[in-house]
Amino acid sequence: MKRDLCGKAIKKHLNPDSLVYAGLGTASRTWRAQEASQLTYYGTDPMGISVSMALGLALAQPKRDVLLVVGDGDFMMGIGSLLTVVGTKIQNLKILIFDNGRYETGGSQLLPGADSYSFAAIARGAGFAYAADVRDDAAAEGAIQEFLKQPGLALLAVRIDMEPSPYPPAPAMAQVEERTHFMGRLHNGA
Amino acid sequence: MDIPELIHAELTKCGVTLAASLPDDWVSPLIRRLAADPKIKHVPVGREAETIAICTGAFLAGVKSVAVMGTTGLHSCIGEMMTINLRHGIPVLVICSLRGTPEDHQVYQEQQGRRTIPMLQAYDMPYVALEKPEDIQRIPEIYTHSRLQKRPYLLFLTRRLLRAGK
Repeated sequence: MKRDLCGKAIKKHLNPDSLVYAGLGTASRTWRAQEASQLTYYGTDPMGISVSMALGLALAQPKRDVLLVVGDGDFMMGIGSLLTVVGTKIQNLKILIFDNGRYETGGSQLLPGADSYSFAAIARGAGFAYAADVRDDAAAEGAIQEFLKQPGLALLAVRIDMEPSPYPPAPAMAQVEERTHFMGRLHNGA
Repeated sequence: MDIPELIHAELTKCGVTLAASLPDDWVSPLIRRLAADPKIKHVPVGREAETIAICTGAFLAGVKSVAVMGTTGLHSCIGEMMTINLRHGIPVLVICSLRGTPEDHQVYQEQQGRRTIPMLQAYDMPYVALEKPEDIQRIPEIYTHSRLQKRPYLLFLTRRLLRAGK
């Protein structure tokens, strides 16, 4: 699936009241490009803490669904955090992985185990009630819709095509400014 | 009250409702104490950087939290604290054992002990070491100071303090 189409499908089917934590790299940039209405926090490096960051947000906002949009390299580096998530017994966190088997922004090097892993199998092994991999473009939007309808913990890994991934220009706001903006909007009911 | 009870009481005064932890043997009694409090959501983790990230994510939504870990764990998550907390201006209070000091004769803590404070100074992260039980009353002012600092803030539990509770 083209990454932009994945972003569009998320935007189309995501609950308007959801909070989003977007990790780093092309997954995050793709979500930002959708200009979706859902309040989103954009992380930066380091890789490997996006699941824990989203978990903290979900624990602090138990009445709202939190969606983590994350790249496969970032996710893999913190994959043990799935156990931490399950240990908390929260139900308001969903994880959507842009999965192309590569560290894309850094130069498209293969992820370890890229030809054999199943993130869904790993998540089920950790205790996620719902976890799926979708590798078929024709089935992808339906899988995203089904995933976003789940009532509890859920994980979906969407196979994403290889595409050029140039570094973006400098953002309009520094991260401190973005953080202040996010917290202000959340405090005011966004 | 013993030392963990005193620290717990002061964290309660601060409004802490979330604690994420990975133990070493010095901070274990505090972790057990926090985990037993139904008003505090305790999250045990698999690596120390998760405590930082969980507390950081919770801060974004206004929840007051604390990360608890040992000295070796602190060394392992300095990169996360630099790139998320320093860059985004997000405070996190870390309660940490201060290992490798003259009172600590565990050889496996010696290297950490020589480098912990210089490391924090290099990253410009504030710290306070609690040496005696009366120091624990400072936790609320330290917690407030940590919020104003908008960066990781270390609250060290020294051997001297922990022995005072025995």
